[in-house]
Amino acid sequence: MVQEQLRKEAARLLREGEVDVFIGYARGSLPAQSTVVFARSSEDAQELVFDPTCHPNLAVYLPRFKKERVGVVVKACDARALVELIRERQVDPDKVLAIGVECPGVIDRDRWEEGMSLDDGEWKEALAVACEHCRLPAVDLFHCWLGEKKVAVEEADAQVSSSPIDEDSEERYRWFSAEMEKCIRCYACRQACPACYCPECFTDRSHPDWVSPVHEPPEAMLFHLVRTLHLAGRCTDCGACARACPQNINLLALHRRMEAEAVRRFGYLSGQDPDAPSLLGSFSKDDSDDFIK
Amino acid sequence: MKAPAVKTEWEPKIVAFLCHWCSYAGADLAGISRLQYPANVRVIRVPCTGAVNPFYILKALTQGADGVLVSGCHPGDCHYLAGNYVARRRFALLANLLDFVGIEKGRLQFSWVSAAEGQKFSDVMREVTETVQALGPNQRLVQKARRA
Repeated sequence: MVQEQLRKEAARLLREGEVDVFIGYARGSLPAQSTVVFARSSEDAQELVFDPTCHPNLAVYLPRFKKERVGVVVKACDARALVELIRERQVDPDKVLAIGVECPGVIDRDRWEEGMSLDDGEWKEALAVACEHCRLPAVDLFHCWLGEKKVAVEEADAQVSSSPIDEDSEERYRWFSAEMEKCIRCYACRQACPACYCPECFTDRSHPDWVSPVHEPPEAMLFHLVRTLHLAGRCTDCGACARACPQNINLLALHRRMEAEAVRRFGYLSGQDPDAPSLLGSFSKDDSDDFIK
Repeated sequence: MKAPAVKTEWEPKIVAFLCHWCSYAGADLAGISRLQYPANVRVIRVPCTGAVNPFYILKALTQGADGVLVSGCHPGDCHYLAGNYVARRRFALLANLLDFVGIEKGRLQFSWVSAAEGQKFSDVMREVTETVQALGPNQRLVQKARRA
């Protein structure tokens, strides 16, 4: 059983001093909810759990432990985010022990209904959207792997079905503004995102105040469009932002559009190789000019 | 009693980010050559198209610009060697994203205009103005208080 192996290995790493802290999931206080635990002793490690409720992306915590050796449990999506953090020099790969776990997919709490069971396949009804499109990084990143080395969820199409991709421009705008009107700018998406590690976000600057606190859809549009562009070629499609969103905004549609465009135009896919150049920091002289006069 | 003065016919406001080394010099040449082009364009001189943050473009659109043009050196001619190559990637994604969320295609335009292309500069300005004029006032991204 993955959970038993995980507790054993985490306890061993902590006891033998191979890591200072181990980041994993523990049982939360609500049903079908997990919480993040920072284990510092082998006793703490006995709290660790792993099941489909473990949806937060743990890579988000890694840049905060620059001086300590960290053990962390990673799903395929966390592993992709870890690749990006290593590539962007935010995480020292020598200080991180990543324990890969076979992940059957995680639940989205918004799709979860009371009385669903985690044991049989019933929870799959609440499978997070991001899990429809999972992939493992091709690098040898893991300290060890628990479970079989495969992605349990079938690879799926990069497009999100609920985004109005085939509609005309006016219809797409109607969809976009309806999504943006929901936004209360709590910035939970940014906090949950492993790629949003800037010490000061452009939205937090007050001099000049790039994004005004006025509650108007154009300001929310500005925030989300710029955030999407900041994440272009860096987003690893883990879906943590969409699951953190209290307003259920379809953020994945924006990020996947950029991912699809990066693949189509530049043949670029994030989260695969820590030595790859960044999408927007590199260029090819043969990039297409088709949109320029 | 005289009726209050009616608003004159709507004219688009267009913000143009011009690279100092090529397009801005191209605008100079157009001026020196006495070439005519519509006066709807407000020029902002930037060191390089690579220095144009997509945020500036989006901010201009939310603050009431009806169209934005970014113009710089032809590929291979960048004063900073690679600024326009980097910009090209960035703007390809920006243009795609804005199209995806339903912002009309003509609102955001790009061109390569060299310092020797005064004629092309004036043609591009006319083309951009006509496109934006045909689209009408920018309503989709602009704050309500600033709508025309």
